[in-house]
Amino acid sequence: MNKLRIDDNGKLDEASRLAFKTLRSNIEFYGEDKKVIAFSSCRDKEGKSMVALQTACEFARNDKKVVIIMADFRKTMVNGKQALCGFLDVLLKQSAIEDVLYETDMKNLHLMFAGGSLETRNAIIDVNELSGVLMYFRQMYDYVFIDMATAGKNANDLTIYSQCDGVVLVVETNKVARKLAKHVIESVEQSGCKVFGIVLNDKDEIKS
Amino acid sequence: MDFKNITNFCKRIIDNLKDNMKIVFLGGVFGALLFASYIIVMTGMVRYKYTMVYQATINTFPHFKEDAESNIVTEDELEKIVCGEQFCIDMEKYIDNYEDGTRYINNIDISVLNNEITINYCAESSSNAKNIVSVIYDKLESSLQKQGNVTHLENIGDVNIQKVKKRMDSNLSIGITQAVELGMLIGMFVVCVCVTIGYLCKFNIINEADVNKNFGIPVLAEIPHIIETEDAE
Repeated sequence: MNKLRIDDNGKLDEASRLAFKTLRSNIEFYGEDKKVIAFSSCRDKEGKSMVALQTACEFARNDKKVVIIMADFRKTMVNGKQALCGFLDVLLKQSAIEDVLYETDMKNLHLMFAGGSLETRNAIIDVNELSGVLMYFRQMYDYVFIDMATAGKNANDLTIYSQCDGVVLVVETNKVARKLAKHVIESVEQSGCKVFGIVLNDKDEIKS
Repeated sequence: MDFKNITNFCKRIIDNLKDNMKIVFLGGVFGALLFASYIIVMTGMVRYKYTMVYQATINTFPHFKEDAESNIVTEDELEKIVCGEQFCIDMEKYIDNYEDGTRYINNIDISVLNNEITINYCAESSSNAKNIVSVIYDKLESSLQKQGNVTHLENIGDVNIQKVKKRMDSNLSIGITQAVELGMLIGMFVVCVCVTIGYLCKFNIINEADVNKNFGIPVLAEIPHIIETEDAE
């Protein structure tokens, strides 16, 4: 398996670590059968990817086997170069899961990039194929975290939500309009997926 | 407050304005309407008001000298007299709130038909109207006498008083520059108030209580730090 070095939350202060522990407890509270959890946000740059990664690290530190899957297919290009193969390639049967799964330097944490290419990033994914891939992950891991694209920015959002056990909505404090958040929650619930709750990011800024 | 805090503060305000574009737009429209109405009122387009006043009317007939060059009084001739500087100065002591002759000129109406002169004057009270129309009559007579053709004016009947509806100066008008300045100030003030209300009215999600109240779902965690959004990629 490919290896990858990631930054864990060594840079986080005590309050932030405590917040991620709280988040872990709250997710665990929903039951062990809730394994596939999507992280989404209402707007870009709300810290959704970092929250997903840090939460995955927190679970991994707690001896849970976790895989984090990037599912923002818009980011098939990184710095003008083709990104690494990943989730979309697996769903389109262009790669095998083992080939695009990365082992990280953190024990129990694996990672899969979004993958895809400019030609395939807008492809409609097959729900059965998605279900099969996620079933594999359900058997192999304690938790599967899917780092989604910003709500409404990906044609496959609802398909992915429909196969998830729950959604965590990352919201930057005092930046997201209630109306927008309500709309996102409603659209997620339309797919039949439960919204576990909201993670309020950037809380300190209010106090300052 | 260091530079970073100021930058963050400004960024937050701009983000909030973007989020509350409706409020900003409504504030702008409201401000613009207020601004426009203020200018309209203050520059005189609607500066008149209609009031009930007493109009005193006197009809006179001029008698001419036998050797007069002309035995006709024209309306232009009368207008020149009543609008003349000396006439205005003479009237000053009789009319309250006399301002540059404007009030007097606006309230006086003189017409001539077949050499019969009709003098109308409007005032807030009947006695005032009656007195002033008599004064105007006297002054007009002496002015016409000075011109040389007229010997005297003969009254035709008494001074007639009636209540009429008249368009009066509302005393509201100010200069257009002042109106524009004040209008802009008021408009900007309204815009600022609307934007501030939009900002303070918490249209955005701000805390746990807000989430519970509006969405009925729990807050799973409150991350206290600004999380950089760089992807793991």
